[in-house]
Amino acid sequence: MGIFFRKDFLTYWRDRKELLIAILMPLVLIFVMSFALPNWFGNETPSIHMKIGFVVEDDAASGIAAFKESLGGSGRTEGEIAALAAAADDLNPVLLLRGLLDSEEFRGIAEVVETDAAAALGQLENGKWTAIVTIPAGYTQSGLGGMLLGQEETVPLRITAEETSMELDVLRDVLGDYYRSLNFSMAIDTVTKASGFVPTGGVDTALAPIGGIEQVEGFRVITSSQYFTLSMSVLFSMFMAMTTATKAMTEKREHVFQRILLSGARPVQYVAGKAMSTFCMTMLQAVIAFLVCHFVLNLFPGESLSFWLGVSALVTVYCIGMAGLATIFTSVTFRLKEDSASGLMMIVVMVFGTLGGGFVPVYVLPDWMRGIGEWTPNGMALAAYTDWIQQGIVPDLYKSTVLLLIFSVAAIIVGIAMFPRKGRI
Amino acid sequence: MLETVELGKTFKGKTAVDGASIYLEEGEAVGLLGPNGAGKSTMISMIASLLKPTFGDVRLNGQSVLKNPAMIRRTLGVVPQEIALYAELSAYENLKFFGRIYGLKGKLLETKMQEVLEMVGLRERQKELIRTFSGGMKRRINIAAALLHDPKLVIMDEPTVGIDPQSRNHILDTVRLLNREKGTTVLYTSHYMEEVEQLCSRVYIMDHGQIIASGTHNELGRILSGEDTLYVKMSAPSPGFVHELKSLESVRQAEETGDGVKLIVAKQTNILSEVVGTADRHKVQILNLHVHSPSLEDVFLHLTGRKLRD
Repeated sequence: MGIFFRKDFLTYWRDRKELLIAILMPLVLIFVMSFALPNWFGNETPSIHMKIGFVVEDDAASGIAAFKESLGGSGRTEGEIAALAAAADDLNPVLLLRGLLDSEEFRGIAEVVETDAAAALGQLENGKWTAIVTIPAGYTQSGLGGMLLGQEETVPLRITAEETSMELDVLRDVLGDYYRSLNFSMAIDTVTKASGFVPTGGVDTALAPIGGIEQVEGFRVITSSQYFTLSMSVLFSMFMAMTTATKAMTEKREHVFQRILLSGARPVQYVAGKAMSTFCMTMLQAVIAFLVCHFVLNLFPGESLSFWLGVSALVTVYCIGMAGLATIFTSVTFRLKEDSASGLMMIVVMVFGTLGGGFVPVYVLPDWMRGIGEWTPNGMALAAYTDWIQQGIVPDLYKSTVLLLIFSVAAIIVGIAMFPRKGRI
Repeated sequence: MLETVELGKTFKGKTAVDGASIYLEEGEAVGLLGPNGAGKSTMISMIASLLKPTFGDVRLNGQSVLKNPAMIRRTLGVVPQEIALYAELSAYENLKFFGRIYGLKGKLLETKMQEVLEMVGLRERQKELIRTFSGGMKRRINIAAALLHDPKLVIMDEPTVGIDPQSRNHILDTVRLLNREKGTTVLYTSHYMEEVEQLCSRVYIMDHGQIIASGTHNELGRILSGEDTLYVKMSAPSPGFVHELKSLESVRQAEETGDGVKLIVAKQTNILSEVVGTADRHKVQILNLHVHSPSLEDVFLHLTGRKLRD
């Protein structure tokens, strides 16, 4: 078997063009995709920062006074009027909005410049500002009527912009969240009032966190460059298994295999040589991909030895799996015509590649496809890698490794069993 | 030493070999002639136990090879028509691989490798990759790989196709050396009649899967003993002249040769005067007339109605 392995390994090694493609192609794709799509996964995104104008056309004091005045003659008791008037002083809508715009969180995404309408429009037209937030005249009275009396708000806040943008969407979302939060607090306050509590005016208008990443305890976020390194590595290992079968095809076509048979060598030795050489070549391919990406893209900074041992174990069992796939592919080339075998192998690699997350991240796939993808060798390996990177749970690593090993051994057995017996080749 | 008994093979209803019986005595060099598609390669594959016959048997020293394929594989060296070598490996690495799978090891393997390399004249180039070799050099290594394990019987399937004269001569010398000095039995198939005439003492002619004739050169020549071959060389082409020659009663076959015409005619006929008379009528100037005894090529043409390279 050693002589077959040596022969296969040498034929791979000497085919420099094929070797370079097998090693460089995944690297090129990893770099291109990591740089082109850095935000598909948990990489830090460039923060949004916008400049907005703040124009106040309303006189808050007059508005509050007008609101208080409107309370008289409405059939309310003196006590109710006094409580509402006190609440109106506390719930000044302009002050509340200023509070939001001055908050540290909001200043993290926007710089607010208070100015008059004409100056603000000039800046907007020059493209220097993203939007103008205007508090129109009558906003205070209308807002208090809405908040304290449940009346329809007739003077809404106004946002002016020259063009749509992601920043503008964020501004709208933040202000929308603010008003939803305000309305919710007021609703709670109304309910407590109905239960006998007097409105205190203590409305919680604290802004909900703006954007950000929800980090689940115990999980680490996988980055785009990590994901693409893993997915391309497992995908191109399958191409390597296909290359092995293509080389077997040439041996069959050029009657080298017949010469091997004439020597009395057993077909199983031939297939085993294919499996071993594929294992070595896929190992070489994966190791180069991981090391180059680690040093160039800073893939796994500061990881422990045990982390690397876990990755090595997964690489090894996956490469054994690819050796198994190569034996199946090789057997297929001896059972089918060249064109049919090539077509079938390409379909298998493409389907496995797609379902297993080789071409697009698995999370964009529908659930049923993800379910199937988890049973493809590359999908299984990708899931094992990501689990190990995200959680680092050793028993889970054992489980993934054993599963991959079972697949690998089964693939080798199937490949050998499929290989035509002597006299049928 | 080796015989095939009514050997046959059918593929999906089509008969490739149809009851072919041949035999080879130990130390003999036997030619197997036939045009493309005659069934020679299928026959060789069945003899080598690579293909199971549909009917018939292959016997080596009286024992059926079908029941014990390992027996013939130890005895046999096959030189396939294709360059059955690894282009990315050197000549040395190829021979080492094939030697190892034949069970040769260590010093014995090294000695055998150098011996066959010497035999095919490529000892100095052994470290070079096969893909850098010329077609002729590849064919010589192709032969060397079949000789590593000292086979008693060597089957060569058109080993000189598409190569330069120097390599061709080298291959013919190698076959002669193998057969005449080492006593190796050789079954040689070729498109080149003159190779078979030079190398082989007996010839089988195969067409449409059947052996249609066999024997020594003289025995085959007697098939055409009632015929002569006449070459007529003309000053200029004349289709009318050639057409009239073909229609002459004593002309059995006629074939244009480029600068004239080749006629197979019945012996003892007054063909020369008929040819000269016809030339006069067509105002054709005859430059040369040459009569000779039939060759294997003529025998083949006579038997199959085709040229060997058709």
